[in-house]
Amino acid sequence: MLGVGLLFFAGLCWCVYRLSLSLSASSAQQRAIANIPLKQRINSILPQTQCGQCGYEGCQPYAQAMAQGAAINQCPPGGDKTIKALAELLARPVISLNPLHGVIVESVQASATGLVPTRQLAVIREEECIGCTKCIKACPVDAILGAAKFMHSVIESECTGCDLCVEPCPVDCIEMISQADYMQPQHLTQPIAQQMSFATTNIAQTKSFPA
Amino acid sequence: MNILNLLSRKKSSYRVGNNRGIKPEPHKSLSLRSRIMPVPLPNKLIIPLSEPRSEAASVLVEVGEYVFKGQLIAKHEHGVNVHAPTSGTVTAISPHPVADSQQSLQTCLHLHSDGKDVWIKLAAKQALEHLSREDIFRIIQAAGIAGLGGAGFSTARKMRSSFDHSIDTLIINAVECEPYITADEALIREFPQRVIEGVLIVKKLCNAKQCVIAIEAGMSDAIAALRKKLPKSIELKLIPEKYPNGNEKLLIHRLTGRQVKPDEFPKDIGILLQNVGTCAAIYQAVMESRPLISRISTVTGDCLKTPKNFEVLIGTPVSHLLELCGINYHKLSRLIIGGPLMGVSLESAHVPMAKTSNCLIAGSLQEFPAPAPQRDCIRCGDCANVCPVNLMPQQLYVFARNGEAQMAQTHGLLDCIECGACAYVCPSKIPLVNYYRKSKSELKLLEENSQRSNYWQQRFEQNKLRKQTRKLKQASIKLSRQKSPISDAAVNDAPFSKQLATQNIADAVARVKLKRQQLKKPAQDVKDNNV
Repeated sequence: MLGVGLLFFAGLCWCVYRLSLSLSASSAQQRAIANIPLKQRINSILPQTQCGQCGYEGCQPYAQAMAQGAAINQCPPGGDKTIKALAELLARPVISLNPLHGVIVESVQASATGLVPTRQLAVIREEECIGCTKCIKACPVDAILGAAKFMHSVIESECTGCDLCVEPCPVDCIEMISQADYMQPQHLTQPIAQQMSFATTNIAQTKSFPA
Repeated sequence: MNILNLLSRKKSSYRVGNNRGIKPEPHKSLSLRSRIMPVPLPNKLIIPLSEPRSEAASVLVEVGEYVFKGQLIAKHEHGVNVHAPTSGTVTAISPHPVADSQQSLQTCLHLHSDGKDVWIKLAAKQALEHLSREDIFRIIQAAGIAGLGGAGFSTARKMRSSFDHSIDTLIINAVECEPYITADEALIREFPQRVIEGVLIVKKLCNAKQCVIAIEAGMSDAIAALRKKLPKSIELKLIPEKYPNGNEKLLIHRLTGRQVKPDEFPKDIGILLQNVGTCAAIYQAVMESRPLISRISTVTGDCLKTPKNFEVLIGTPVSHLLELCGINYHKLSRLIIGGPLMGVSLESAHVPMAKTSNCLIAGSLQEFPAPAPQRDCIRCGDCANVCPVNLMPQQLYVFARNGEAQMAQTHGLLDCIECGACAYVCPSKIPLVNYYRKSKSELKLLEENSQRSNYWQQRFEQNKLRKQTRKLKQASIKLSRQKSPISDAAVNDAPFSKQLATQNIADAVARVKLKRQQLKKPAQDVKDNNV
């Protein structure tokens, strides 16, 4: 009887020990997250295109404003996914994007989580550029290279697709294109697609192998 | 539920150590009836010039040129060199479909064979004792040896990068766990000496203390052949016949108890793993100075009269092999390169055999029925029972389908080895591996996006800082300019004195005169010159 009691007690002790361990682990994690200021956590969700479509000067100021109660549906480059994540973080209801601030550009993937915007890139039609440096001054991330009266060019890897350089251009030689088009211009992909008569399917995936 | 999860969660992220997996019909005896046969020379060979996922090769020959057997035709600085498999004339260098999962066209060299099979003069053979480690590396690199197990990664590069870490265990993988494939088994059965010598060379190269050949327990002939010749320094371990026991990570865990984390390579935990076919190729390169121009491949399937193992020249068209084995095109429903579970399904037979093509299956509709339509998951748990890395495939499937890649990651998605055992047993015929791959690519995209947005933020802050400092600087300059007219103000405010005023006027007149003289002088010089 005593033995059974002891065994039961030992089991109970072990359970309490493991429970406390797991609880302390999870609470430590939560504390670590809570130590980061709210505006920084909001800022980490934003896409960092620095486009200013939200009406603020960049992502950081908008994050600060949201921490103080601004609406969460003013970020077109972030799309539905960002709004959902913001709503989760700030415990507010999920709302759709405010059309006053822009629209989601070309949502090629309408996945289960909502509209996912494609990455946009600015491209300068270089033969038309007059070298006025106005776009260079407008670029928030210094992604445009050039000098006065010399041709300018967008550094593709640095461009956030913020659209801010398009408006100041006096000759309208900058256009925004989505990255998918940039990587595979249609005239290049077409012949390959025609030549490829290949169906590479993993047999395990197609499930045709007999059991 | 949450607490229960936390209680049962193990500390390591990687969970193996069960004997799970599946046991499909082996179909191996089909191709094991006869010995390894050489393939009669095909008229035309199509040689892929670069292995998948490597940079473009520098091609050393031109269209119309005559090449000898074994001549180097494409050179890679860090990748896999390519040699001519037979003698003949180069007819074209153009993109051609190849059998890889990337669905890509690759630059291939089309070689018209002259039927004479003339070897180029090979380098003189050297005794192993006279060769330094560096020499052997150079030979392996020059011979164009790639991992013959499936990945096709440059062997010289793999070994070289491994030796920066100290390797204590060398594992030779002879576990052909997929059905149909018998290439390694046939190789060991008929050339045990070649295999063992190759293993010894690799062992010498990597200075491993321990060397294990892992072989499937069912390969009785091969095991017997190996046992006869096996030196004491090499251990032989039998692995139970179950798919996917031949997987790199599973094999390492089974043999050493060590775990390879998702972002690690075996070399990081002191292990080098080589395929048995690669070892034989290394032996041929080092001892016979023969480049890798052929490999042993299984040609099998229900549609063939005489399934066999062949010593196939790299670049042999699939159609040539099929006709050699007496193919019945009426029965043929599916062509597969590689195993039936991990392989690639072909649509045309005009595809060359590459260095990684270990098996060619011509399957009938009976063997490979048309895929059944996918139905809903009934959460039967069969997939969890077979998962060799103890994941919960049904749960991962739910996350992957709902686009919750991060949740899938916390449930061990990155530990998934994509073996397809779960999809094989699924009664609802869900292509689970497809979902996992999609989820993995989503994770990768998320990671890229977060890195990129951090970078953008940094650039934005730098830009802002620079603009601010420039503004401040300009403001200060403006301020100093505004300050400079103070002297005028001082003049205006000062009490008028006649003496000072005349003095100032005289000074000004003197300054103007001096300036005029200076201006006139060069003009006079010009006049003098003219005169």
